[in-house]
Amino acid sequence: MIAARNNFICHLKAATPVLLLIVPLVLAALLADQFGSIGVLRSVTEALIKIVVVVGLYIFIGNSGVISLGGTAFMAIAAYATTWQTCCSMMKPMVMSGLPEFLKHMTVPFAPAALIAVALAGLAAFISGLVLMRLSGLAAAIGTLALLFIVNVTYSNWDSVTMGASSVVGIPTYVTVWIALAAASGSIVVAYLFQISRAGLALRATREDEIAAQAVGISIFRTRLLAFTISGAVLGLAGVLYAHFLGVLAIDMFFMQLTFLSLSMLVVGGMGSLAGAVVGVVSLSLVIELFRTLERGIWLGETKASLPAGSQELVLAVIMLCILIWRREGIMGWKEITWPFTRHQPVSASGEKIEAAA
Amino acid sequence: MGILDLPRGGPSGYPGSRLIAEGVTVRFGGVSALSGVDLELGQSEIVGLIGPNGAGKTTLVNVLTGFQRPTQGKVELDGLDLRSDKPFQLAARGISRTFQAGRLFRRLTVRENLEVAGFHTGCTRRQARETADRLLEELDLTAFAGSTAGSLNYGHERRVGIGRALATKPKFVLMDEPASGMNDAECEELVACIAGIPAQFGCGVLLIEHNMKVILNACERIQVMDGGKRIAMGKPKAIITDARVRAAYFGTRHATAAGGNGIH
Repeated sequence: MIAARNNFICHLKAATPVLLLIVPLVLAALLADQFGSIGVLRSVTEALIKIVVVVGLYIFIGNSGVISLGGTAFMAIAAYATTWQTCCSMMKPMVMSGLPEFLKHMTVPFAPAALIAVALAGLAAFISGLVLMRLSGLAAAIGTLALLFIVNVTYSNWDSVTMGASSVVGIPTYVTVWIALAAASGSIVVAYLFQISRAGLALRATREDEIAAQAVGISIFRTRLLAFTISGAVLGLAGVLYAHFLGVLAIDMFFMQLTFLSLSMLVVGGMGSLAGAVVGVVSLSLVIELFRTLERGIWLGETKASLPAGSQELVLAVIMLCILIWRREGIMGWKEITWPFTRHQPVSASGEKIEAAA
Repeated sequence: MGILDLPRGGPSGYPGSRLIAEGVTVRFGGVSALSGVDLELGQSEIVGLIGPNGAGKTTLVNVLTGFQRPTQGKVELDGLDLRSDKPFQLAARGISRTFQAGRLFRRLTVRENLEVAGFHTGCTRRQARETADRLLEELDLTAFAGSTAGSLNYGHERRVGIGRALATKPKFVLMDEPASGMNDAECEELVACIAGIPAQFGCGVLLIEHNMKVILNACERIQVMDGGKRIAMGKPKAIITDARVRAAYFGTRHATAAGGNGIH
């Protein structure tokens, strides 16, 4: 009995970093659903989708320490894949005449379509990773950026299946705040399971020291490739959500702006921890929302005051600079949010132990 | 001198693997870092590798662990050619090493540092954790298991480095200057720790070191290198009286003037 209880507490403790991230998200979704306006509900849904994006980035970038700028390419691949399967059965044969016959005349249900799209994004990450994961440091960042450009240029010129640079409209919008919440929670769980797995720990060892990691039997290429593939699949899920949230799809939705916005969220929150990824999205989303409102203008009695358009971007840039100057490890600074009663657990963050070691 | 009485490795002639380098040459452009060096290491012995700075000791370790391809020569483990293996594959074959600079995974905990080294054997995370905890106990590091490796002091950092190398379940551990920067008391502890490795963990040790006290107390055989060549090989007693070794260390002028045990 006591053993079972201890076991349960043990599991609960192990799961706390995840629960402490998911529970506030559930509360936010509940509040927005019950009391928020449609605008607030949409903003919360979008923030939840952004969590999927940034957690997807974190799985690779945070654990490997290698900056990838190509993540949004996998979002685009999955977003188009799900659109081809679910969109506009009447228009499809005409506007996307290049699609294979079976796709042209068939509409796949949402769930399998999403799964196939996610799998395709993962496969694309795996195949491009076979080449890209042989690079390190700046070369890897440039290589992944090149991937983003390749996908962007290909999709914006592949008129017969992507409608080129023009938007695809009429995509079914089934993504509610609850679906976005489920996806965000799911991606957090996946990221956490990866992070505490053998492969995740091995990848973090390569982040700390590539040479020493090889000397203890870790293949840098293989561990990075695995993380890149998982990261690509999670980003693919985010792409699927975007398409079915907005109902509109254009290739430039998944380009530089989203790449740098999601990367700044990760940097501001802290690249080194899962909590950092989530906190980064939440805090920057709040700032963005606040300044969007101020830009639209608020009524102060009889007069309407508004900030000039573009001040939101300016403020983001200032926040990013401040973080880079004064708190380079981000808001969370490599720490997960842990069980508050850890006195008996040897945790690296506990002051006692560190004092003893120093 | 208590430390002189310490056990010197396992029983000699114990059947086990042999790591062999034959005629290893490494050239960087026109410079030869190693020219035709031989080395033999058994699974139950502790061999010292000494020589002045720039003698090619670390380069030889880099060759044996796959971080440096030899320009010429053979590297074999029980007759198996190792030259085309990558470092992580050699680690999996049982050749492990420590680094002069420590190179711990600084933001991981001490326990994780050891855990991650056991993964290549295919064990689960829990098994790796158990092995790591046992090793930490044997190395007297249990108190630091949950600390981040970057927060350790120098002596403990070195010991974690050795622990991490042992956590790979190696047949051979190559140690690159484990005693550098240690005081006398720490060195004695280190010698005791190294001397016990062959019997305790069943693996041979190649010890690169400048501190002669450590070398003489821990090793059964000593190989001396200078200018990328092997200049002597033998028992500690024979080595400290060898004229070529004295010449390499002190220059020919002092070769006869230097005292008996005072080589540091």
